[in-house]
Amino acid sequence: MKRPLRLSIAVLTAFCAGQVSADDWRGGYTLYGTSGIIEMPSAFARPDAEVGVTLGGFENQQRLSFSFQVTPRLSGTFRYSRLAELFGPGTADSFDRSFDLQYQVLTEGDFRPAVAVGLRDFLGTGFYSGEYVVASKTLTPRLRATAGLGWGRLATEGGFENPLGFLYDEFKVRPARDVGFGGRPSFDEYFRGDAALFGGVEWQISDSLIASAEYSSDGYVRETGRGVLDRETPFNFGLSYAPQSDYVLSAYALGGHEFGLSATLILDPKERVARSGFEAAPVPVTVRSNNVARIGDRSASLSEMQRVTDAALLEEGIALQGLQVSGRTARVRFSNERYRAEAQALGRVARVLTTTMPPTVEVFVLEPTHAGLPLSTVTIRRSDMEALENQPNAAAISFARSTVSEPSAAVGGNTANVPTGVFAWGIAPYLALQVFDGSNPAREEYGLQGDIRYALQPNLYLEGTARYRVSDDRADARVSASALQPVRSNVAQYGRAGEIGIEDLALHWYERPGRSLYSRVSLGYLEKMFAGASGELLWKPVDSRLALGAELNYVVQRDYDLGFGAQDFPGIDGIYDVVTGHGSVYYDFENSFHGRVDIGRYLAGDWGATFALDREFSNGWRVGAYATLTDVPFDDFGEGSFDKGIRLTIPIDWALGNASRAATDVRLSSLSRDGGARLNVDGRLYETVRGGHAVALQESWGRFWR
Amino acid sequence: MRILVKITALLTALLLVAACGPLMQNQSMSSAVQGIGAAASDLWGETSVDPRVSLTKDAIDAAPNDLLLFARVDEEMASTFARVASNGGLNTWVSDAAESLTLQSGLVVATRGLGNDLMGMDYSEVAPALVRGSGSAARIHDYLGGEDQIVRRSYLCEITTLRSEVIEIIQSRHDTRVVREACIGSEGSFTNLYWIDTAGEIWQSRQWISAGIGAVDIQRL
Repeated sequence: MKRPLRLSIAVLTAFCAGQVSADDWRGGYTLYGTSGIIEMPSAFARPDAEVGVTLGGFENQQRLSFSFQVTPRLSGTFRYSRLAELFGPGTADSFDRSFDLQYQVLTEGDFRPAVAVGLRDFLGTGFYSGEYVVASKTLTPRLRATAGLGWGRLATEGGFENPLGFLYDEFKVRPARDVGFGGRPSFDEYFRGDAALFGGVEWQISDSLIASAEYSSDGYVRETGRGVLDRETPFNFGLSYAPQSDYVLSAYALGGHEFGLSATLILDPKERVARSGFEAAPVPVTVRSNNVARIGDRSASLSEMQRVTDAALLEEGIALQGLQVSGRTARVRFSNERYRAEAQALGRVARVLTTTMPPTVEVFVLEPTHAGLPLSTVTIRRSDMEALENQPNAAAISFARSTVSEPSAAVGGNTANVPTGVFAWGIAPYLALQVFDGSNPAREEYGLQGDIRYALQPNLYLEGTARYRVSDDRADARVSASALQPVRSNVAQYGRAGEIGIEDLALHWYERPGRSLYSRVSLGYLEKMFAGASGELLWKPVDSRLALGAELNYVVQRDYDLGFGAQDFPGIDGIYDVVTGHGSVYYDFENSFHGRVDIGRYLAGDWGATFALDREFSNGWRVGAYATLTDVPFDDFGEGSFDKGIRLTIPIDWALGNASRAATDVRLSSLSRDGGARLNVDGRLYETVRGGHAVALQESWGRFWR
Repeated sequence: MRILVKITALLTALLLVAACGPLMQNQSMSSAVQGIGAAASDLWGETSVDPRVSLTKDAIDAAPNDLLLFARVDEEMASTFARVASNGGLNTWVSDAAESLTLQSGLVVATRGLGNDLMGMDYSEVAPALVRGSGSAARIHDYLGGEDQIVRRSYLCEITTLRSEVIEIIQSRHDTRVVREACIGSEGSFTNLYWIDTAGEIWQSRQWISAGIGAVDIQRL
């Protein structure tokens, strides 16, 4: 009963760590969810990699913001706002997405203030658009002051002629916004038109209370002009309560009339609930000299060794797929089904082998696999396992003494270990959320989900998911008015409440066509909206940070009833089929950023490229942004002009401290539009393969002895 | 609190019962729910007997393995660990809950399964100083950082013998001397206490493991 108690404490205190002290007071979050005072920004940066989720607002406007300190100086914010009565009293609510960026040009020194430049709402419909240059200084450990110059919306109170006008006359006038379908950067507006001063102070009253006051240069001109908001003064006042370093609660008096509230949840992706995890302790290393007479008896047959090893690995959540013992070498192929870090699985396998292999075996050749594909060949000496267990600095020394090399070309497993025709199934409730679309903050869909998987071989299997929907249809979701084939925008037409629909059902076949090459062929109902054939080839040397991929698909748009048929579209006199595919370049930068470019043809037949940049943490967290530009004109694309968004991946073991390969993916701001849409086929090669490659193994080798 | 427990119970029951079959084990929702379910089952107050109450000398003598008693200072319940492996003077002890402790004559050099484990320790100076009962020694602790890398922390420790004491552990008496180890490092300080017999074996101790775990009490049985 000790474990659950520990776990419950961990879960309950997961987000309640660390007391705040005056030394690490990092300033507050604004009602816009960015670093700042109340509504005005400050030049202070948040700690590197911090994620802040802020829900704040006042009667007429609420903003849910997701903020990420991308690098120590650069931060980015995505915001979803509800704007009540935007077009005058009695009009309907509007919902708006916006993005901000802030860059700290100068860090704070003894006498020098921190200086930052920022763009607020630089991509959206521009409702909150404004730019600023701001300086902040810590005057005493408990008092901070900020002063800045704003443009755009940040110059709607106390504006004066743009000082940049001395450089070029063009700066004096801010051109009228051509919103169009929004979603484009408006370079011709930045820092143009009138400018205005803003500023404020933050005062840390006690370790958990912060008072703030500011002079705001945002006049809420549009809102007051339409009579939906009263504002008497440019002064705002606030009081924040932050007893822990992981949340802030604030209350505000805004413009003399409005009362505002906000709450910020602060996450540190670099810090886990339980750093080493609550999973079971590994099997201790068996040292040969005191263990000659046990299982590792010389006379043990190979099949007996296979049986014992298989059972011992199964206890560790690892499936044995092949075991060969020849002379001093044991070659073991396995599939790790429990540990996020492949290095941890390697450590567990090597320890099990010290108990099950005959004493004559000195070299362990380990082959982790995924989808039946061998990912790498890791060679570990048994005497190193014996010598380094529980020793200081064991991880670094064992990594230096191990070698990681190209995986063998043969796929699949050893028939003695891998029974063919393995059938597995599962039934669970499901909940699918579609968040932040243009007219509704969240739509949910829930019901029961059944999964099946029939593996003819580890690398050749049929996999499928069916769902029985209990919740209402999403037929009320807005159907787009894009000029393209509705390859994504009619997703709400798919599946009806009270009926069973096939989400996907496809045969996947993985192979190793050559050195550093991996291939996949998938056939069937590949995803909810498309069925057909998909082929992929990936080149990725085991120790390379660069990978190249190519994918070619021929697909037909599926029937709305999620049965086996294809949908008839009267507009095109029949079914919709398309050849789509991409060439991809992946690069895993040494500074923890990961870049990816895909160039090719998208589902609506449009040609273009997708650019993605993610910050990846070796504990499995990922935060990134992507944008797709295709030959579809912005006007044909519709709202947002082009597909873009931010996404994050949160590993379950980070949040719960257990051992699990599962992760939660969140995609923000991606409207499911028809331009730049890609096929969602499961099991793409790059993510299948790279967890077992050298870079990933090295980054998480600290878990080898865990 | 009552309502909270009811809701967790309901959710857990619903999802644990509903999520079945091997394919659902790794699904993120069911993993999360299993974790929360385990936490909730604790709230329902399932009780087990503290070995400090139930253990007898006969039971200890009859056990096939050597045993020790372990309790975190910040938790009420104790548990027993059995010695299962030995490697170069380091003995590894395992509990029913699959946690493990690795000890060198009673000095904790590694833990597993506690959540914020000591992954390894450079005990080359501390171990002889404890036997001597005096002197100063450096310790280097290896921890897992939040990003799966080993983080090394060093401490400087002052070792002093406080007194002699006869202790009784479940009807067995041991002549020991009480040794204090006071350690200071850049990330904080801690003090350990050891009850060591003339052969240098630590029979009873209070040792600090990590910032997340705090100190633990260990008794050889």
